[in-house]
Amino acid sequence: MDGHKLQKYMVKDKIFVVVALLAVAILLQPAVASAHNVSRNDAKFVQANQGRAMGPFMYLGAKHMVTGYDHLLFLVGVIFFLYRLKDVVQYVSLFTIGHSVTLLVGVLGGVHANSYIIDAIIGLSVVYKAFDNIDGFKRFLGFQPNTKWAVLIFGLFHGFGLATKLQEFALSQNGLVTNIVSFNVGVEIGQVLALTAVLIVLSYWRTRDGFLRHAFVTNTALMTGGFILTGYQLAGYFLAV
Amino acid sequence: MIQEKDIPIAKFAAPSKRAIAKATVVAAAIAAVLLFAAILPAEYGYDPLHTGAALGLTELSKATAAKPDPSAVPATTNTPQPKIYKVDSEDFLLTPGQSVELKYHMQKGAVMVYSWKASAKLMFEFHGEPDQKPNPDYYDSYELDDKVGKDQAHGSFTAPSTGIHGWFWQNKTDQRVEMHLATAGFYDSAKMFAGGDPEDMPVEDAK
Repeated sequence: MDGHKLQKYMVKDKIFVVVALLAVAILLQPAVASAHNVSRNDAKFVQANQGRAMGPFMYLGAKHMVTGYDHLLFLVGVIFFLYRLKDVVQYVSLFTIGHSVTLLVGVLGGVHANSYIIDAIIGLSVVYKAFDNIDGFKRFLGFQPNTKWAVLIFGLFHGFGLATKLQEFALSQNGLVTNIVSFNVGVEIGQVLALTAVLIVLSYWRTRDGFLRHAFVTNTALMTGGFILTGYQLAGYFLAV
Repeated sequence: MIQEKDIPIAKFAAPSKRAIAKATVVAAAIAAVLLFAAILPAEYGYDPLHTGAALGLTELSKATAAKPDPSAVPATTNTPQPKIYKVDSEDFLLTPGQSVELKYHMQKGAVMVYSWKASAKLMFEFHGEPDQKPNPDYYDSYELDDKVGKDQAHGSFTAPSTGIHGWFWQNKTDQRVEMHLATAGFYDSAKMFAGGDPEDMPVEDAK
């Protein structure tokens, strides 16, 4: 690569950094406003609902997943370097097992946790995965903590986040199990939809030679997003009335 | 079942410790700047750098704070009344330009719930006239819409004074508009004003 060409690449890299950061900032705008919050009208529905309502709860679960940027950022981090479909399915299944367990146990068992703290931990899960992706643990700890356990454990926190948000509404005991399971099924449907979109973009991107070059920067941007979510939630814990 | 060897492959050339540390610090720094300069002022009104005020972002947090919380319930108040409450419903047909007024006589502090629906938008004013008026033209306005109008309104009302309280509606469309009003509450009589002398309307005890 001659000097001229190298310079051109560097300029391109810088532009990419700016675009990536802007994308994160834009993505986080709605995330900050709505991550984890079931929107006002949906909340009204949840509160007014009596008895079984499989369709609506499935829809709410799917909507929550597709519009919940914290879950999506984490999943992007998880599948970023997964090339084989088998691996994607495996890791996503672990995430699903994790969040389903705590969603069901949290709501049905009436386990209450502070949603700001849970959401801050979810933000940290994004930081963790992005740091892992840029080989942070390997370099600084000398080994990489087991990635599957990490996904499973963080999955537990993500499910707890779902549970605390649903608990903020007085859920009717009538048909509760059906509704929570429906919500959970909806979450998985939403997850598949969102992952499909992410995988299409990633697969295409991987065919370009820029992928590996930009992977480092992209994961740094991902980490930024995680830090923002964490800071936003921690600030909420200390500042919100 | 969970194997360490299954970790993903095919990555960039292993970045140096320095590069990783730099990336982490940059990520945290950008996050901190965005948080303190924009997000915290806008979301929580916490503005240590005064950038929120400069960018007008703190207004957002005020707006959020002022938004009524639908789940908030005002302090419970029970106001016992000596008599059974009344119910009333009225149907009006307003020709283009025509107006009508319906008012209920209520004691101060008495409550009524109401709903009205029309086949098209009507200009209206929900207002009241105390029995003891400082001057003959005096009235209190509770809700006025003489620009766009509404085709329905529902609510609960607590009389701020002993007097007559109710609505003035006007049809400003070029078609006939049908309107239906239903109320229930602690009023003792109703009066309709449709151009000429006020007309007493019967009200019924709740069954």
